[in-house]
Amino acid sequence: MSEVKFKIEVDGDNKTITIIDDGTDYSGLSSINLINIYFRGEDKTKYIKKLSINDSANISAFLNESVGLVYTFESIFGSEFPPDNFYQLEIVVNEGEADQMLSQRLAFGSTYRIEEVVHRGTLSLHVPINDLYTSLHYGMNAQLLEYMEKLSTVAVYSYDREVKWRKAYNHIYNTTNDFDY
Amino acid sequence: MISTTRINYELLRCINIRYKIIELYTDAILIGHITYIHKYAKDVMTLYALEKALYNAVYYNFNQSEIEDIIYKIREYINALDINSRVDYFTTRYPSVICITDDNGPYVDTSSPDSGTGDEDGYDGSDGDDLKDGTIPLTNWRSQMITISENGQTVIPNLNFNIGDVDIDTVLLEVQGDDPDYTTTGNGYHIIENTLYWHNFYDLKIGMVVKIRWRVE
Repeated sequence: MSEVKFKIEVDGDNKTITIIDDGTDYSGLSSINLINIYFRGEDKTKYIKKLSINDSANISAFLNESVGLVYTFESIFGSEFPPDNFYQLEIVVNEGEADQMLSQRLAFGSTYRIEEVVHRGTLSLHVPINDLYTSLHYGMNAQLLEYMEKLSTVAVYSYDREVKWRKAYNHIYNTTNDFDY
Repeated sequence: MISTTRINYELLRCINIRYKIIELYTDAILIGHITYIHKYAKDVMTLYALEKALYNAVYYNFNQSEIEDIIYKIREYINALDINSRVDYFTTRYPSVICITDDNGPYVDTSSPDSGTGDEDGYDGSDGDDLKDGTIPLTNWRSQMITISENGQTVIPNLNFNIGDVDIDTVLLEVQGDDPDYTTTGNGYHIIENTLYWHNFYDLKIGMVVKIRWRVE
């Protein structure tokens, strides 16, 4: 059985996520009755959000490369900014049936809140900075944000990438809390 | 004029190494090693500054020698970072950094030149006279230095070996005077029989020295 191939487009301007089939070979299925889309965070045994698609209109939209399933951040995460996390997406087609198909895993990161915290922290900066530690701290936060943006790009999931992302995130999170912005 | 390909190559290399050091920084944070935290933070920001300097030099149409100066500074700084063994990029391109080296090649060949008499480390107990007078080559590595005689030269004939007779994975090429990197086989040049064809992203110039090394069995 082949695996479901799909792609996702995260549109930060319009605050939407588009999920589209990417030329999967469904010849082994008699029909597509159900598409389950799972969003997972750090704990892979649970899911943060599960989207179940079982109506023909949405299934057709998913299969049509020029359309796709479009969701707003609000509808998935309950907020117009996805909570900071490194998200892993998986799709299961006809879950629980004899011809169930699993998918590849894609991942992307969201860093809205931590960016805001870093920028707010920078605004509250007292200048001139006269100690090395503070100087390096502020400098490295900007560097870490750039690095995390790179790691947050939509791409095939890898454990290595997730660990790097979480290490960078935890560092900013802890130090900004220490500084009590 | 320096090609866009080369400048992109330098910038990308710098960015990738900077990201690698950011990773090392997060590791240093985890173990709380304050010296390394400061060192990596300083390195990251210096590389960032150099990277922007190169970017701006291109943007504001600096002349070629000024851009080459910046590229040289970037390479000099990266080389001075002494993180070579920790950066994947270097471990593949600079095998000599993580191995014991000698003048004749990137690896010390510990096999005995006088086979049968050496101990398991290859030391045969001789006083070295036979090595000094050249009767026995020190290692299985051979090298050849070729001075470029015309600008834009792309064909270098008369190599001291025939590519069919050596293990191609051992062939290393280094251009002295411009590019301190080893040029990888299949990327910047190819060899047919005993002639080298250069098709790297920069041109060879008069006075540059191409050093080629290979290993014989």
